[in-house]
Amino acid sequence: MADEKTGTPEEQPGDPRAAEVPSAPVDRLRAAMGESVEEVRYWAGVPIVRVRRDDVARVLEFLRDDPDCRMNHLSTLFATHWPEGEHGTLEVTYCLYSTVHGHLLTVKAWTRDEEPVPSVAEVFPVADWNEREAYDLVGVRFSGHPDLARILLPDDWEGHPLRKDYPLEGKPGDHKSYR
Amino acid sequence: MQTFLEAFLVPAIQALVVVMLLLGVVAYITLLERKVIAFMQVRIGPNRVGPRGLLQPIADVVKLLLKEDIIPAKADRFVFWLAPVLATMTAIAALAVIPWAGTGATLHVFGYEIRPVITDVNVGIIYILSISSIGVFGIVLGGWASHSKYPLLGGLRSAAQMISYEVPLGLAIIGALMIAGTASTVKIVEWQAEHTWLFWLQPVGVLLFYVAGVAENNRAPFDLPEAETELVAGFHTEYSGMKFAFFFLAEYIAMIVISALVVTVYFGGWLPITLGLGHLVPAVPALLSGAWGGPGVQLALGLFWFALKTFLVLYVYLWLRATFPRYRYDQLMEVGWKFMIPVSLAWILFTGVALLAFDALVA
Amino acid sequence: MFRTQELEINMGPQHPATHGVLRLLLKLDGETIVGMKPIIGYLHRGVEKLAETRTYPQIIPYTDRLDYVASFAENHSYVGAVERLLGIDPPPRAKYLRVILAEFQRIASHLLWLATHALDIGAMTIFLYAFREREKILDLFEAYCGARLTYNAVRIGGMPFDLPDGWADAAKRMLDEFPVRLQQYETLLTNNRIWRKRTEGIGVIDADTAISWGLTGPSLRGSGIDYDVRKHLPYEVYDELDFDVPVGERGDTYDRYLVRMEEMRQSRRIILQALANLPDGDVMTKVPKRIKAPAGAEAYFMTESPRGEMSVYLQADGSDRPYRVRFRSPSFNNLQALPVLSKGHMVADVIALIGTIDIVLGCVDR
Repeated sequence: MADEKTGTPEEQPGDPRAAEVPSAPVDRLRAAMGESVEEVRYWAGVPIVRVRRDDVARVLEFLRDDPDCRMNHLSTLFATHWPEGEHGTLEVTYCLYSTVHGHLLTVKAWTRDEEPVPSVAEVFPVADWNEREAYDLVGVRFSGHPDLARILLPDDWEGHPLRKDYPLEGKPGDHKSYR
Repeated sequence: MQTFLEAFLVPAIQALVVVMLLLGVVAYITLLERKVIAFMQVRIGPNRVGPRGLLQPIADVVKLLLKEDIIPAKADRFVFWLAPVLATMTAIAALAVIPWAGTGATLHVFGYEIRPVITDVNVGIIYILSISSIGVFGIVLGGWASHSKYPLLGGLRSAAQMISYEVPLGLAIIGALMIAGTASTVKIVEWQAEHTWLFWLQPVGVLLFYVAGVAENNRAPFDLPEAETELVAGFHTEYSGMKFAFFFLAEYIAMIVISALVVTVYFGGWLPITLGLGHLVPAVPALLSGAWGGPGVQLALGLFWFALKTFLVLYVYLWLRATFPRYRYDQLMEVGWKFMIPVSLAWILFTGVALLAFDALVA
Repeated sequence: MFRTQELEINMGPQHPATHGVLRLLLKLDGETIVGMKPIIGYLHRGVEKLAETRTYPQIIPYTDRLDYVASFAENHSYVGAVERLLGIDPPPRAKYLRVILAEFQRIASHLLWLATHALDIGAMTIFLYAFREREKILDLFEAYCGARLTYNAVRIGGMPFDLPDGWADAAKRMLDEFPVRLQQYETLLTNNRIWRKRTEGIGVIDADTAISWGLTGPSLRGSGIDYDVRKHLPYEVYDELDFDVPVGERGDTYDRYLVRMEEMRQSRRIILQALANLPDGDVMTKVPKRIKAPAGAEAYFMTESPRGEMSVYLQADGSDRPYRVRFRSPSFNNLQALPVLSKGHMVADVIALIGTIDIVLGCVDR
């Protein structure tokens, strides 16, 4: 039922945009690493797979190397802060694409503050800077990362601006040395 | 028998006049460069200052004179001052042996004989090559004295480039010297008046010489040492105001020197523009060179032809700059050492053999 | 008494050739690069944080400023993500208009790339010639949406305006003389000995390394992988149009140059087809006044911007502002591969390499 005032479709059970779509990587993943997969849902025709945090690197490696998946392109990697998230407070999203087979897949892993997520920089070198950005702006730590340092903000910045509790205008002491 | 005054005063005054004229000419060459390159790039170039931008060089000179003279804190002050001076002085000094008219244009004023060349040394060409070698110091010292990384890199590159290209520069011209039988600039032009222009006999030589000259001059496509996009400004990054103007001046004067040298040795110097074929119709060169008039006429015409030809060679400099990308440093050195030197050596050999064969045939 | 040491030089944020505020820490052994570390963040404006406090349509002007050289591509990418999030389908005429403008943007961006790349390597004249062509395209954009650089020319659900009268004819006129001009540039560069020496064998990267380092766009296609989002995951009406995707072989700077030159020709082909097949109709579909997306909705929209794969990931929370916007910028990922590309090369090659991966710092730093 659309909301008449705003005309926006609400997500209903049976909302066509959340319909399941056939996906070879999801099937292969469930078959080969089923215990790592925690939840699979769909939106706009793309499967979103939540995996166990500690298995992230192995899942991505499997997806990259499995002949039916061949997900060789890590399109993006980023983190989101959910202060009241039920699976954790920090969510890391990985979007994968296979230039060989054409599969699209989104993988998610959840963690909490101070608990590191395994780095996937060995599997996809492109993850290096993206993980640094996730650390810099959201504060997710990655274990096994070659050089986890701030990338976009000055090295002596305190805090992680993309968090929901960080004010948009910045904190009073932010620009202390740049006045 | 010349008195000391004669031997010293006349060339000194000539030199003064030449330098004055030169500075004016160089200023306008900077405008010429900007306009010519602009027209090649579908734009207009400076046109605000004065009618069609003709007063632009004056504005530039005034600006450079009034600019603050910044010396980096840790720079070696004496050497920092010396470098541009050296570069400019040596460039100007090279013009001392270039003739701008024939002996018929010798003026006699107050009993002094004023020849159309500042001094006629019988090793004129060698003198020019050695003076330009000293010019390298200006650049190297400029880069070193600035006490900064980019100028250091630029100065080093420039020094290596200039020293390397002096070899093909010297070798290329040997062919012409062999044919003319003399190293004196005045006599080379006289040889060309009697026979034919040397570029017909030395096509490879003139090309080699010119390209080596462009590289010697740090001009495009060999201008990596001062490439703006790579080393900010190379050896003259830290220079400002009049010192920078001097480096700038030195570059343009060196351009004029190389052009004048090419014209003198290969294209007949002050001879009229008959391409050395004047013997076919003797009346034409006689008319164009003013043999019918007195020394004044001959002086004016000789100077005119010399200036025209030098201007055309300078135009090629500008044309090259607008057209080609620049060589990377190691490729530049490769071209100099691995291509130009062997070719110029081979050309000397060829010229020598051809001369011997010619002598044998004629004899 | 004498010793040799490595020179650590800063190709600093202020440098004539780094196309923006990019800082490269170079360790040099003579002229050879022994180590390189790009340092970015000088143009970070926090656009992802800003986007969380604006409504969906209000974010579109922010996307202009990301890749300011190809701002239409950014607008398009973001709006496509919102439309995918909500399941909105713009009318066919709007899709065709988007394709036409996107391809014009591609040509304009490639012309700027050519101009600056050639200028950095020393061929100054190409800069002026390429900008002359780009001016004509910017005039077309100005006639369409009023702006020359930051267009804000896409709306959620369609396009803001229809084509003005005479626009299609002006576009065709520009495209008629375009091949001749391109040929002029090719004459000056493609077989020029110095150009080839400066670009062949420079920055060679093989296909697998390239894609694992996240290179996309012409930087990837120069190495032989034909990954072009317009063909792999067609959006708008690219699946109805006929065009080729040029692919290089050796993965060096010269191949990437040839790929981009050919892409300009293919873009022209696309525009001419689209103009010929332009359907009539509205340019905007019915979209609610306040756009809200349901909680739990997430969409990822990938497009082929001139620099590479430009994508936007949206996470919604049921309100009229997105919970999280992620801009996947091609320049950020391409720049990461610069140290790999420059292994064993010289200082002068760094400039050629920055030009060949075609980065815009606005996109890198966001």
